[in-house]
Amino acid sequence: MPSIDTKAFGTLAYQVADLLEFPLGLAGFEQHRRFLAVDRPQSHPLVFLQSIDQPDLFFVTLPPALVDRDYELQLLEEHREILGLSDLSSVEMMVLSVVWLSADGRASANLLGPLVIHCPSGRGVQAVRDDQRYSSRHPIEFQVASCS
Amino acid sequence: MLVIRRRASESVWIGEDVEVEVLSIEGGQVKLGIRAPGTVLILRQEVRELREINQLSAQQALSPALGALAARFRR
Repeated sequence: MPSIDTKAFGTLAYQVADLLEFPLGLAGFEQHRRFLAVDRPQSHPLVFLQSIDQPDLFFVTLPPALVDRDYELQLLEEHREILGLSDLSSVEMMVLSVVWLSADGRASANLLGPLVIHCPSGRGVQAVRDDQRYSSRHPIEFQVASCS
Repeated sequence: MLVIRRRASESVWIGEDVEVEVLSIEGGQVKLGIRAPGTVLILRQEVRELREINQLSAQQALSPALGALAARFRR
């Protein structure tokens, strides 16, 4: 079984079938094409997208419906081609928004370009919208517990 | 911002080697053709925004705030 020594999650053993393949990479990370989705019980429902090609790189993600329950996915023709989809309605997809945790403790979710993964094939794409309906920095309100 | 009116099939040049041509105008959408050297990066605005936010979001270590963030969605 292949494995990868990550900086954040230690050694991750995985099956080849678990690999997520982004043929175009992510915007700004076009050379990063293979990822693992890491779902840790203590961090649920956050999902970590760990790069296979760069062990010290990962993204924090969550389903966009958690920050906007009415969130509607928009997939353009170019995205469907990458995912190999002809029929959208009947396929299993995982949709994840990348979360930005800023240095000053605020969080936001990228609803402009969600990561869309076709589960049966493991193929994924960062599906940037063309309708300006959602923000790339949708704020997430949360509080860090403190002693008081 | 410099504003220039162009019709379909007309173009503008940016510098010595970048040409932007209006190919067609249909239903509120303009189709542009761009001729530029391969070294010139051409991005739709929203893709440029994605690159920026992805760079900001790239993590190398688990933040202590993650536990609180996760808990926020488990309530």
